[in-house]
Amino acid sequence: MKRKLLGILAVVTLIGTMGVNVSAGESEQLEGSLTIYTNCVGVQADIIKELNEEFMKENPGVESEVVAPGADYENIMKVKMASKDMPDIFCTHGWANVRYVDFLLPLNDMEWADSIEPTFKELISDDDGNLLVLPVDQNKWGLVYNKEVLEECGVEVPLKNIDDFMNALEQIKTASNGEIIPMHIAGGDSWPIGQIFDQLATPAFTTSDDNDQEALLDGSFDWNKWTDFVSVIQSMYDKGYFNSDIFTAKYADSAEAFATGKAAFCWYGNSIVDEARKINPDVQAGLQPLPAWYEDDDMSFLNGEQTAFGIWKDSENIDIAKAWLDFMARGENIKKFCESESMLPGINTDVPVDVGFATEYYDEFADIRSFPIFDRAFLPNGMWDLICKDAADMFTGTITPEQYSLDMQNEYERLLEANED
Amino acid sequence: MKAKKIWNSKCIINIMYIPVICLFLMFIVYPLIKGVGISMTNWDGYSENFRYLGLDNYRKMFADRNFSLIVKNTLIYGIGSAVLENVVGLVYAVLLDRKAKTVGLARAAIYLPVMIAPLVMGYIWYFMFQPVGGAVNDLLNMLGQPSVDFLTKGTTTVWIITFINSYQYVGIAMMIYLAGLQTIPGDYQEAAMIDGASAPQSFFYVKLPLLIPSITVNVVTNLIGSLKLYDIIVAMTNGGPGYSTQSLSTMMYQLYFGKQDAGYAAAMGTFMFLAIAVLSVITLLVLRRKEVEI
Amino acid sequence: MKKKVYSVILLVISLIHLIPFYILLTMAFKDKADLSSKWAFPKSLYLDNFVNAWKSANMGRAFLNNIIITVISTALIILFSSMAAYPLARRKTKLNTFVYTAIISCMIVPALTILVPLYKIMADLGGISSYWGIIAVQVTFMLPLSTFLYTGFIGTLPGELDEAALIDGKSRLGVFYTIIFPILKPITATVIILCGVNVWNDYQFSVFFLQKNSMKTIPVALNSFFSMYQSQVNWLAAGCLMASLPLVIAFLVLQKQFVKGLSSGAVKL
Repeated sequence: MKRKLLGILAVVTLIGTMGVNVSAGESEQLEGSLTIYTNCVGVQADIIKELNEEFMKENPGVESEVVAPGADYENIMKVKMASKDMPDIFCTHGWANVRYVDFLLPLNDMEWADSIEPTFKELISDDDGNLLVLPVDQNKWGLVYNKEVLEECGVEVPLKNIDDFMNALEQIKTASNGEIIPMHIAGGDSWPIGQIFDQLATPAFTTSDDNDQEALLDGSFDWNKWTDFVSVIQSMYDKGYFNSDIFTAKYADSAEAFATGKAAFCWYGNSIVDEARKINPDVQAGLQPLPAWYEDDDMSFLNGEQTAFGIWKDSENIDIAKAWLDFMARGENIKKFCESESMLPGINTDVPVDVGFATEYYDEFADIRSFPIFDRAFLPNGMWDLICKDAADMFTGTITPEQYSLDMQNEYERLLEANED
Repeated sequence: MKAKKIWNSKCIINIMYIPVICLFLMFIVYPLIKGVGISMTNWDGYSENFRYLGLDNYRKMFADRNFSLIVKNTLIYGIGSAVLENVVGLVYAVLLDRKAKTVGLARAAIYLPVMIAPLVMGYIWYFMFQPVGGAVNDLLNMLGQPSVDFLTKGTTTVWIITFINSYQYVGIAMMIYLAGLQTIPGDYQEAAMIDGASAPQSFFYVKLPLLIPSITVNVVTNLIGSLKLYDIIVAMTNGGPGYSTQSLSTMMYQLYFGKQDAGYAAAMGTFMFLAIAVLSVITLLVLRRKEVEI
Repeated sequence: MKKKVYSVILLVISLIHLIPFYILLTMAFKDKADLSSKWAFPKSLYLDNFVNAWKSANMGRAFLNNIIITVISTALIILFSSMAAYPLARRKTKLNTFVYTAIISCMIVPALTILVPLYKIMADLGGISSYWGIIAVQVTFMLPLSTFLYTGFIGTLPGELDEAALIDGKSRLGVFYTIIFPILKPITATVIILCGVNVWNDYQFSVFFLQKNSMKTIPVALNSFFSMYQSQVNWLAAGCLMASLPLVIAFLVLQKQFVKGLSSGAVKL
């Protein structure tokens, strides 16, 4: 019996060690294996896989695999972090510094490190200024609208501030006799409801001269302001500016409504346009910066990395991983990736990137300031779920705006405290 | 006498369950104890830092504004499904307990949903109840009725999900009842008929009492399964809007991965484990008392 | 007359139960751009969904994985639980009653409560993205149910069967495999159907424990059609039809044995 057990143990260890790879010695001829995890799905995931194939062709000694678990990405990564079982390269989807910093290798000495715009670089560096990831694209987030619908309803863009925006929503509703949904939100997926709160929070709390940036970071923020803020969005809901199936619609429904001219605004950034074109290739989309919250303030863009790759600091294949990032950072590869989603590149290369419908708008609004995405920059890691859930609860009338603020405050304090440990 | 001696003489025969015990200790008991340990910390679910909190997470759970709603929903999912599956399953079994060509077809049709992954089943029903373009609303519109938003109606939606869960698993209950009915000797019923009992009478006074062992099995296993219901809720509403259709499972998942409050999630998991244990043991004891031997 | 009414009732019940499958069928055969009612039958047999689902989810590979995992898991479940059930059914000492109760209670444990510690163990053992890792987990979580079924069934078998052989001095394992195991056929069919289906359809464990692309199983592959940023519901429908086909066939083949295994008073708590 004992011998049998030993035998089983031996087999188990054998199988266990088979996964370990021999890492490359010289950088000339790379040998070994690489695992890359990405949160990208669909076309973007396919492009990463394609590029990875090319990388393997250039480096015949490397066996490399791209894993794209889709919606489960974040959960899988959390479990992997807890077990210290990280892939060699992984995407940080905006959380490089806050969530993944302990697992990331500083990339300051990479060739492309200097091609990242200084203001943008700050977002993807740790508190000591170490560059953490390779940002393939950057999200320059504004308000995406269906051009034809706005023209039909006689709405003039850009909408400079929140009052203009509210008026536009009302106008769309009345001009179309309620046929067109002013703003389509796929709340069935939960996160899109949070999206509108998170994005409008930027003009409301961080862009004006008299902003709350510091108060949010040091914990002295007056949460009554949150009550006033969410009350405005509640009034949009009360006035019927959102789709009636806001709590059950899925992302695909938003894309469909946008594609078929049944919705004027969508709150997802540029990728919704690519999704909508799959249904109606002729859909005319436009883009403007986010309206200001206060009359004396200016419009703003949101800026942050969307797809960014970092290297696990304890990876056994750091050399190969660095070679892979260098490969991704090549101009033609960056271009290929960014153009598939109409997004700007995260690093400057000599190969120009065509961002499709968004090009003319980024040119038109070139002077508009960009700000980091609100919850990533000003809230502790872990607030997102509450923002989405309580927003839905407030719309349905289960809780009041005051309760929403109270929940935010409690969770904010809990997470601040937890992060200090 | 002799036989009993053989079974008691050497306990070596117990070796046969050692593999099972080993697997359980390693992959269920040990992680479970670990989980209870996590419930007493403020761990975020992935980092190395955490602090010991004692029973704070449990206190927080009972003070949570949404806790009573979540428990209520979980009970509806659990008890509601158990009742629905068993009543309908029993009716089906009685209807299908005979030999006819259509019987095979009907059994297969009723059992078919069991074969579909629950998450996918949830999606299929989402397409049925979807407010815009959903199959049910299409039907209502064809009949000249306005569309109904089935998935945002709070407790009604909880019942819709309970219905879907029952739809998926009523086949198993039916099969167990069918099997139970087939073990009832034919002469029992004949005797009842000769005594002048009507068909319903013979069912309620002769068959039903003999079916209690099947009822026990069905009710207890359905209860355990449905109290843990997760996939269908995720596919249909993801617990929303807000917290209105959350169950302990979905809430636990969201606390863990969404709110990064792994300690609290583990506390809820421990509570859930204990609650299911208590409920199923009570049900088991009550039903077992009613069992009669053939 | 009565017979006709009965047939009609059965037909209506069957149809009601088949409605979601009808919707699934119409969706599977429609183009994404076809926004007609889900009740409307597709105008032409549009097969691209099946092709796309098959290709994009690498379903050939996923099928192979599912078959390997399900077959081996089910075999091990049958082996371990029938073995465990034998002493538990035959030798009702206090210890064994306790063991039996403990095994059955494991049915109650919610998978998520133990997910992270379990993952950690598996990662330490090197079992992530390996067949043996997921099989170990699947087997463990199905054992309570199968042990329960086997113990009940063996309990109904007359003791004389094996006692005589034991008195003759044969080994217990030998007696079990030569005399008892062959009679367990019907309940084994039951175990195959109940546990096999669960393993085949498992999502919660597979998504965490099988991360490599080459290790994906069908439910994980299907779910990726309906995620955050993309929604290929028509592919999902087509994939779902393909995925459930082997199970339906298995059920139809084993149906008779399945019911037989459940009867004979074996299923008893």
